[in-house]
Amino acid sequence: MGRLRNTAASAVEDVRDDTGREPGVIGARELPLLDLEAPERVQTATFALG
Amino acid sequence: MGYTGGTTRDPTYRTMGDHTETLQIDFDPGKIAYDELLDIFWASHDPLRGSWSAQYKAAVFVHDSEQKQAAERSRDRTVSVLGRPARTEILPAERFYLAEGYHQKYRLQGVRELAAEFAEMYPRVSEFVDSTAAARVNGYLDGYGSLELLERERERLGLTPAGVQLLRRRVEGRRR
Repeated sequence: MGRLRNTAASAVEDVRDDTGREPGVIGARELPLLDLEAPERVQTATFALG
Repeated sequence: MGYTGGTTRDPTYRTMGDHTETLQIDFDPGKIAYDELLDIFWASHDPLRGSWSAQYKAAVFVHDSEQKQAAERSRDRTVSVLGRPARTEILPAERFYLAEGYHQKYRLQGVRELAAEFAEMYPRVSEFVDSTAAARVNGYLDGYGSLELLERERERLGLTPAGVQLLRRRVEGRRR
């Protein structure tokens, strides 16, 4: 549940821990800011449309 | 996109077994409520049509008792409008197997330039699959959202100016 929290947000935390760089910047890559919004609130829904 | 609901271990598109092709969404209930997602779900398929196979079954896979109650309420509302029983199932969510990379964000992967930009941002497929920005760009390319919305959030999508311009042209083009 909430896979989003395991990617962009945790990656940003990794960057903070390892390099002290600003959130949102990972190496040469800049993550979309939309991916950094409130991952702690994420819920999961699953549908099959037939 | 992925496969769930069956017993086959580690399914793929070619070895799906008794699983169902499924869409799994991570969402922020502060932005959109589960009830709204259910409304979209019921409006996006024919609840009266039976399943031809497990692969193409229509179902809501509920993750907790609250989702189960909400799904049942929304099904009852749909049935009252249709006047006939829905054949869409409400089932407990089980293990979800992510589909192969080429099934993910299908519209986005169909636009080579934009796909390349996202591949640079997210070298790993799992990151690409989880990206809110990728999901939104995929939605724009599939006819959702508006030019006004795109202009408001374009700087947050992570695209280059050329990528934004390409997406803008696609969104503008569908107005004609």
